[in-house]
Amino acid sequence: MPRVISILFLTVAITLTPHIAKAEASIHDPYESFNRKSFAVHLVLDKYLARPIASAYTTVLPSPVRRTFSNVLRTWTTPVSIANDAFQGNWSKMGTDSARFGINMTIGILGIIDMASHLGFKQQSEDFGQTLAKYGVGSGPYLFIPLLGPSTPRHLVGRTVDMFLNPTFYLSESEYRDGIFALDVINTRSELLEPLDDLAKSSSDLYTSYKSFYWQNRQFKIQDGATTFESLPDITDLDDE
Amino acid sequence: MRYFFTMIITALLSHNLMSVSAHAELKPSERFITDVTSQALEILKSAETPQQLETEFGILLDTRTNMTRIAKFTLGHAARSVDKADLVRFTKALRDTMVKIYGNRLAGFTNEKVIVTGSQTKGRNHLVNSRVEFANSRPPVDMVWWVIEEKDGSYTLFDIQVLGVWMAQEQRDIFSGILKTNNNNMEALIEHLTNQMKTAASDS
Repeated sequence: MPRVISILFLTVAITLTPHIAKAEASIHDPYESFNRKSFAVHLVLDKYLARPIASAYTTVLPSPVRRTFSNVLRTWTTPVSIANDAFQGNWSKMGTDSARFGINMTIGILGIIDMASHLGFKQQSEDFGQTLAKYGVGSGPYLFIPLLGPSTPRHLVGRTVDMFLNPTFYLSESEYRDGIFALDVINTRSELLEPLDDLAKSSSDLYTSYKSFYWQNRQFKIQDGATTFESLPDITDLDDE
Repeated sequence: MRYFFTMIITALLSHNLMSVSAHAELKPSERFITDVTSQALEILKSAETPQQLETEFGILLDTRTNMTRIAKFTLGHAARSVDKADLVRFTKALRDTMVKIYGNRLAGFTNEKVIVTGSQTKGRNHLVNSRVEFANSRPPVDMVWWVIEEKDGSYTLFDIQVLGVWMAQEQRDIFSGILKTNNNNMEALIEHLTNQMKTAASDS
């Protein structure tokens, strides 16, 4: 019996060994009409709700305070990355993330100061959506969900799993948990104020720009932030006369 | 607890020792990016009027990029069937739109630093890595420059990647959508660019 279990375990381990995820060429958008409507709703909600709150947050809180919040939130959610590093069998990244977590929680005073970055440990976030991609799970169609933003079924599943991997989810006091969640949302939106305003000014089709940015950035993260020639489009025929 | 700190100190030392590397002399593609970024920052610093900024930014684009190649790329599949006259008109419209939009967008950046951190080469293609350090408190951003070695040995810039997002790729996605909804009509795409340029001009 133990031998059967060992063989089974080995088979599963070999089958599930993450491969170097190859970039998916493009994202399918079969629900474009619905997604565009969702996007329009999102823009209204963002204009009258999320953006003003983020803008007020930026006005009221000075930059060093906001940076402190960002550092703390990133540090406290590092276990999500560590768990996903382990799921992907990426031990070197797991080591770096664990070191980042240890350094920032101790020398960085519970994450207030991002000492790890100062010491050369680059921040790199892994999520369960990326883990699924590494195991060859397809992204599924593009979805745009108001306030949540661009996504795919794979990413949505990933977000749900990551929620359970996030230590702040297990805080016994729901007020703290909800407060941290709200702070995270506002803080993230405040960091995007300038880039999204710039994009809105320069893009001639904001819906497609969001989709393109989202998809390219997700592929980049799945490839662990590495830009290789293999991930580039073939442009050899562009010089033909 | 002692074990935990020993682990951290060991990790710190080994990480820092590994990351210390002497900066060798810049490769030609890296030097090209250093020159282009210095030239761009110089233009941003010295331009006294928006018109002057646009003119000089246009010259930079003309001399440091191969606009026809970029235009063909952004057209996607449509590039195969476009006739020469339309391609010339489209290339000009794209170039003028880029000058108008990016010239205005970059106007606020004058004291930034672009530091080339390395590169990789495959045939005539070069990917040059860099880090942009901002004058304000914004954290640095990594950028990758796709440089192509031309047949005459010169270098031209093909695309720029920020946070994993290639700019020309984004344009291609937008243009393919416009062409799709307009039955691959090039006229509609050129008109779209012209309107975009007018909007950018009225905003500036």
